[in-house]
Amino acid sequence: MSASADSALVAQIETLLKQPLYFSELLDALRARPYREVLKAWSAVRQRHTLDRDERGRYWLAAS
Amino acid sequence: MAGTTNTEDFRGMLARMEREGHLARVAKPISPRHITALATKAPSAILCEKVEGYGIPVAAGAYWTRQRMASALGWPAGELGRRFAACVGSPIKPVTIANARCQEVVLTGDDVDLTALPIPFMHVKDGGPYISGGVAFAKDADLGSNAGCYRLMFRTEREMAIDLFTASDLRRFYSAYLERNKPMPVAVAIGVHVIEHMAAAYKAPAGVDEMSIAGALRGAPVELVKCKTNDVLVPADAEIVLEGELLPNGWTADEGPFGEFAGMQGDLKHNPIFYVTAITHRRDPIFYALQMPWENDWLNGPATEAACMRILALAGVQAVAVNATEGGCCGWSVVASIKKRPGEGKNALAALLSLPVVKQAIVTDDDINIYDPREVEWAVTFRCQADKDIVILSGMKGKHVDPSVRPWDLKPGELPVTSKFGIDATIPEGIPAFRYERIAPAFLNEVKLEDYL
Repeated sequence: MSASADSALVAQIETLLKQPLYFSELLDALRARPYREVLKAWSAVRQRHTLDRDERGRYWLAAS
Repeated sequence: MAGTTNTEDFRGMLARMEREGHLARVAKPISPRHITALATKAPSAILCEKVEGYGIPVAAGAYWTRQRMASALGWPAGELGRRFAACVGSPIKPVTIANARCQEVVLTGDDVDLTALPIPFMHVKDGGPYISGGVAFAKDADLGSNAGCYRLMFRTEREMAIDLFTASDLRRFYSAYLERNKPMPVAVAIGVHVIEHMAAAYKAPAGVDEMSIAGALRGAPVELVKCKTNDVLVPADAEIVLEGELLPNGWTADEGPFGEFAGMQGDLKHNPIFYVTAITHRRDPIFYALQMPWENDWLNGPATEAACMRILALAGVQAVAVNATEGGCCGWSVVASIKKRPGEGKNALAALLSLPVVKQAIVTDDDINIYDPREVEWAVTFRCQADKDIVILSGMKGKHVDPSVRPWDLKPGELPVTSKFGIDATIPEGIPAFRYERIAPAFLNEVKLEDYL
């Protein structure tokens, strides 16, 4: 399913996730992109990476 | 109620609410990012007809206030608890049908894509978009049938994290499957009538199927249909159904935070994963986005009010009305009016505070309109002596969601205790009623407002 995700958008999310951020901050940073495209890209990131969370719920890419 | 039946579906309920002035259609396109903000600001429930990027309308806010909940149910606003109590004792078993509107469209295999649904992002600190208005159904040869309300956080195109953190029947079912390391068949119905939703939220007595409770509330059996990819039964007239299984990953998938029922942002949790094997829906489905906290709370309000009526009856107190107030999340704080005999103000408080959910209670005489906060405050002000009429109970069962019990100080598995208080705002024994004679405007019935304003 993630094949349909926009690879540039996936890369953009991966870059954003180098710093801890709330999902709302991610949506805010990508507000120019259609909501569904963001969710598809998020799905791809979820499948490709392990995401770390802090206790307040912020996400970031786990160190590989 | 005896003699009446309700066979309405979710969209029929929305249409009736619109006719009654409790729902407005939104024609302007809206992003799924903005639905909660609009629902919070809107003076009525909303039906967003055009959701940007989606062909599926989204309804929200249908149970946000007592008046909207009453409209959805088609019950008088002051009789929610009484009606619930009258019906709930006579369950009507559901029936299974073969062809259902919720299966007019069936998507399986690679066609399953949760991003095709307008799952909204709701609160600033949420961990992702949430299905907040889903009702989860399970069926097992040994464990029986179960329906309950559980939130689901979007993870991937086929996965949601489901909140099974607190004790529930579904958690019990899941634990049994987890012990065998087997996935558990489950289905989530979105866009079910308030009666099925409320019945699913109700903590039914052991062995009583929630859909039998829904049948009792409808006065007619609920029609169920078997899912396409498993044996779980779901309401046949649901708008959308997600079929799938809870994976045996245990409490390992990050889930939350989410805006909780108590009106506070919850914590990050770890929960099971719901893997979706099929999406079925009507040809023109409506998605339902339940808004926190009040809609969630109002789904429990009638049952809480009914429980208060029952416990007062058991205590031998004649209850006139019970109001599970919104500020108390429709359960933690209640106001009851009674036909009092000497001592029964305190008896009523003792009974109400014995209910696990109730943390504070006010009891008034039956001349007080307990749905008017000003009248309740008046009764507390003039019928209560603090040193005699306030009851405080310590060391009672509490809940983790209440920060005032300092749950973070508890050891793992340790349950919190709480104190509770009640206010006896009935006329004190020994004071004659005439001392409370209310002001009455002279010649009130002779003056018609429209003649002057």
